[in-house]
Amino acid sequence: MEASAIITVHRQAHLLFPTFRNLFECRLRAQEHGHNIEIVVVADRIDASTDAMLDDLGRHVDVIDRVELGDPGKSRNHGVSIASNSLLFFHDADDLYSLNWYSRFLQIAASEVYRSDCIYHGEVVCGFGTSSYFRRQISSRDLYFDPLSLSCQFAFLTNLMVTKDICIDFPIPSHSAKIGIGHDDWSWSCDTLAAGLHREIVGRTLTLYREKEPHLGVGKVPGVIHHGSNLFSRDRVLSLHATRIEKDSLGGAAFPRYAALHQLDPRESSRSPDWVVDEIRQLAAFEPMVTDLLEKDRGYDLLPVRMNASRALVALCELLDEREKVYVFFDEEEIYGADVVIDLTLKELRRKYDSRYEIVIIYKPYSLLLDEKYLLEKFDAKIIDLGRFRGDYRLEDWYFYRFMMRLFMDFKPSAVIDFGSDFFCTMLREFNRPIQSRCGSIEFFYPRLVFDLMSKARQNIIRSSEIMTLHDPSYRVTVRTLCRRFPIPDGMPANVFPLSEAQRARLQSFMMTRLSGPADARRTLSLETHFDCFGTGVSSELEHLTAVKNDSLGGRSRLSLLGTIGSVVTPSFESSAHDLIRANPSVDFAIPQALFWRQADGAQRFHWISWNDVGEQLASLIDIVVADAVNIPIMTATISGSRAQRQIERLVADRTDLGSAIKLLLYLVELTPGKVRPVENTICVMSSHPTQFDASLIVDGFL
Amino acid sequence: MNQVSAHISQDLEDKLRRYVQSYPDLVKWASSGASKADLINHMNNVGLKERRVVHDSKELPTDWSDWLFEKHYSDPAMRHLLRLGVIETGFHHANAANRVDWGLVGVSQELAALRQLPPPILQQFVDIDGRAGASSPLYGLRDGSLSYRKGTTPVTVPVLNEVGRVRAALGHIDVVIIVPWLETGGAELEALWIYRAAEELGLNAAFILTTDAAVTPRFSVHNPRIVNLPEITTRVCGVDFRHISMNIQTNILHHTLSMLAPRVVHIVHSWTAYRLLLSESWRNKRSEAYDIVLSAFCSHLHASGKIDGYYRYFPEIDKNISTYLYDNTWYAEEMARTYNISPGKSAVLNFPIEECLSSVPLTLAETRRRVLWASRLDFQKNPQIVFAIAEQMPDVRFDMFGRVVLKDEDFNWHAAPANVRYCGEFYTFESLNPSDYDCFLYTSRFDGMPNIILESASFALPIVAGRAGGIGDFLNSTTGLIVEDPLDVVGYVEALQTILSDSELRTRLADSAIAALQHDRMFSSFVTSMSDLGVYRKILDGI
Repeated sequence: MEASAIITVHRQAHLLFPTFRNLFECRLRAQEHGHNIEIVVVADRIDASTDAMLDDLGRHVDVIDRVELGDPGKSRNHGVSIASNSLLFFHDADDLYSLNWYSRFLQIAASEVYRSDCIYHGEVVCGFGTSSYFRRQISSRDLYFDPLSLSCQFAFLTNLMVTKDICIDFPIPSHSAKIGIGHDDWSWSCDTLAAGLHREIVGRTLTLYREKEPHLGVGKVPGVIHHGSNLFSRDRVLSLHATRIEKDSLGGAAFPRYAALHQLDPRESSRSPDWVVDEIRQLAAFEPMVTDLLEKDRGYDLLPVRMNASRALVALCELLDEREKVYVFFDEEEIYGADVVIDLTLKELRRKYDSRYEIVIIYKPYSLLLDEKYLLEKFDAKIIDLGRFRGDYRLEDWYFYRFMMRLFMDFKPSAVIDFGSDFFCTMLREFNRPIQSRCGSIEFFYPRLVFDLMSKARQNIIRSSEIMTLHDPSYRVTVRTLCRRFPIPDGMPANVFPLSEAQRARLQSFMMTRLSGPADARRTLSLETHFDCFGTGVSSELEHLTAVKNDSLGGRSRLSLLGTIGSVVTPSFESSAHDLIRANPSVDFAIPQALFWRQADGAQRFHWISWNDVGEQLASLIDIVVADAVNIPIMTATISGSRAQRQIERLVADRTDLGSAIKLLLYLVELTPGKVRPVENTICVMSSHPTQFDASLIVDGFL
Repeated sequence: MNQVSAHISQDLEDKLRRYVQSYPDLVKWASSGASKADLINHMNNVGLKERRVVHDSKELPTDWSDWLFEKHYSDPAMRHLLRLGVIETGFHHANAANRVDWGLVGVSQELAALRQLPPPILQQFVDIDGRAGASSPLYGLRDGSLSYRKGTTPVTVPVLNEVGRVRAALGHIDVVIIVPWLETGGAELEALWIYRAAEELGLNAAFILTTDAAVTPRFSVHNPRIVNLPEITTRVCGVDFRHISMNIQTNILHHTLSMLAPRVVHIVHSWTAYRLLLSESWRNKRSEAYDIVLSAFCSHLHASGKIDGYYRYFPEIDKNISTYLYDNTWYAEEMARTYNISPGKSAVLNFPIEECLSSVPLTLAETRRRVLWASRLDFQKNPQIVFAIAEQMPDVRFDMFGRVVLKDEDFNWHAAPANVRYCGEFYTFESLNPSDYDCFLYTSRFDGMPNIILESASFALPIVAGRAGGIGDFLNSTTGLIVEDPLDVVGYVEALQTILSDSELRTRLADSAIAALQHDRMFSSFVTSMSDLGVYRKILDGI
């Protein structure tokens, strides 16, 4: 038989060699069985090192086409277009394959069981590299496979055999890290399954899949979601569900009725057979690293099919309709008088968005149970209670947000209103690019009566703003602040705020202005000056705050505070720091006596700075920053306009290659002893999520 | 008499302890400083009147924190923490703790930690907590302990300050050799040859140690040229360099290199250096103009079949590497075949041997029927195979020297045949009295170019070795007898019988080996090879 093997190359450089040597050997074995394999290489935006490797490999390869597509999906499609044969193999350029790969697949292709409307995969996938595992693939016809689980679970590698016709009818979707929509292989699996093309398994074949560090793999780019697909369209999901119910009622085994979450199949516990280990030993001749697997437990990890996610998707499709969506996110705990706020918000939203839009409230409840019937009848709004939804469908942490992205990918998102919710902030952190590229409008509302430094909503809004501007620096984040008090609309219980009728009317009117008034009436705060009533971000890590205090001599002196973003200090700090500096001419800077923060792993850290050896204790903070790669809360106070203040501002402005928090620390460490003093009984707490910190901050000759 | 008194006193003390532990008010009184005399007085007077009894140990509560809970509950700050669940009430401790002691009032670590805080600070925790709700830092204390850091010894800044001082004493540096330690292994020996060659070329070289402060006497003469990061860290900070985080280790190394500013950096098996090359900071921020030379000898084969070693990082760090320096052609070819490491980047150097050849012992015509085996007693060196060989050669004595290093071989001396003798550790080849033996047996499963083969040759001791790794670079049919499969017992037996039965062959092999050493393994030729490396050529030519 004749077939073409399409290998897409990007920047694998030296890792190409084990794969190509392996594939040449596979080709040789296939030739012994009378098969002829054409090897087609599509080299997409390769670097010099990869180019040099291809030069060395070129004489063994039939076609090498260097292209500038910048997209693994398009590269594969290009490979299809230049391949000579109608039967195609796809390969990742850094994986390895059992030596019988081509001969076994082509043996199947020549047999009676072969179906040209199926796509064929190897039986076993073993990961090696940054992690090792044994996994057995299952056919998409398997009773235990559920296509809807692809909403959150990747299932089929792109190491496969397929006909050219299928590839022409169903081109592989593009992968764009820029807009965060991609995973060409995942998306293609969804599209082809939706079209009724099944995936089949070729027995006794093995793929050794190279697990890489994120920066080495195109597919490892964080925050990328697979395309929206007809597989998850509302009609298809509901009709599939209806079919299953019908088959169930007829007594057919269309679908496991009671699927346990972790033990879907008794085969899961079986050990990988000896032929797998024998193959690994053979493939070590091409890539010694695969022998890591010889030290692993040989227990199979069956492809984890998440039927719970499938059920959850059905539930979403049953709840929501086809209209464009306006999503409202909030944590009830963060909103005082949440019922009132919700009513007002929905009222305003309904003025702006007519019945062509479906409003969906996605919220984390605290003490309030929203009345679904009331909201549906009055505002035509739907509710997703996150706690209940997650609990009902046992959606685990690691794929929950990916699953919920179907709201943005397979439904039609038009607008998002976020009240600083944890959920939306996390969604943005993981998938800001697709959300921003799919959503017409994203607005934030600060839901508190007064600004509260410790408010989680405030932190979430700041974090969300940062993330959104990271994606697009020119993006103007709109944050609307609510009025000082919330009005209470008619018909609602007045026990939230005991206000007079006159107060209510006045405040309601004010509220309306804020929510729906002309643009210039809104307080639109850019990231650079966010919450300017509290501080100005001078860098991604520090913010500058100014406090004014009446001097004991009668005048007013300004105190300059510089602190890590997200830090909160004892309210009396400014006053005490001011008095400390004023009373001690030798002291330039005052810092809090205790620092408290929570690290990314959840561990609590409490750092005490005594009066002795302040420099040494601050130096030990540098170790923490470097070792744990986290930001820490630190705040300094000095008199505005003083020499010390000018020096520290210059320091923060200079040396942009260093993290500014570390610069601040180093500066304080190097000051003459006595110039920095902790203020007694004050504490600085970092309450926001610590930002990822570059652990190399002090290198490059700062000291 | 005194003994009886002491006995009574012990009894009384026990009774008093049980008496106090029986009543919360007495625990409180005891823990607030009541003397034993006061307590005895109470037991014998007030206690009697109040009909208090002395309970048996089994009936005593082990902890009175439940009672303290009540006390703390009246303190608003503590009350908040208790409600939050940060501090447990002691109810659980009373059931779970097994300590019974004088005045034991609480075993909650969180409580103990929080009680160390000055009350105003504690109050502020609570204030902030009240405002922060579920995002409060205290919230997480329910699941974890309070990591209380006070005056932690800083490492990065003081170590780098010290490195700065060492650097001033070193003066200008051309070549830096990074090694984990300077002990007795082959890797250190190669590092030493690189150092000597650099000095011979008129370049200023220095070592950086990155794992252990150990410097054996062989290297201690070079102490002024060693930046011993582990030693500096222990001396300045009192902490073990290996125990600090890898991020800090790599940062310190990165910064040390910045300060030394050499032209060439040799990395010889330093894990810290590899981690640095792999780190994001190196990838993103490297601006130094070092040429990096990476020494590579062979992969490590585990008993499980896993092939381990630094080679696995070569593809990722390749763009930072100027030269891969091998001590044998086999591994150079292996890496070229596996990852297509460019021949232009690879160099194989014949590392020299220490003063040899001058006092070559005469090879005796009469065989002594004694075979020398000297290596690590690890899986790699396959000492076990010597037993099987010896069993087939009962009239030959096998003397085995070496020590267990990696503990990866289940080695049982009791299984040794009578003609095998363990003779202990060794540190120099000369100390093995090579002239007492007919030949040297080397049974390694895998290897680079083992130095001990060269040393054996330098003492005119004929060699029988399995063909492992790069051994073929030196051993061939004229310089020794090679067993093609290093696991072939019969092959070893045949080779040994051949060599033991033929004194002429022994002499011929020894002479050829010496000639090969003189031809290929002299220090002067090594220096010339080093100077031909591109990275050194650039310096020597003033580029």
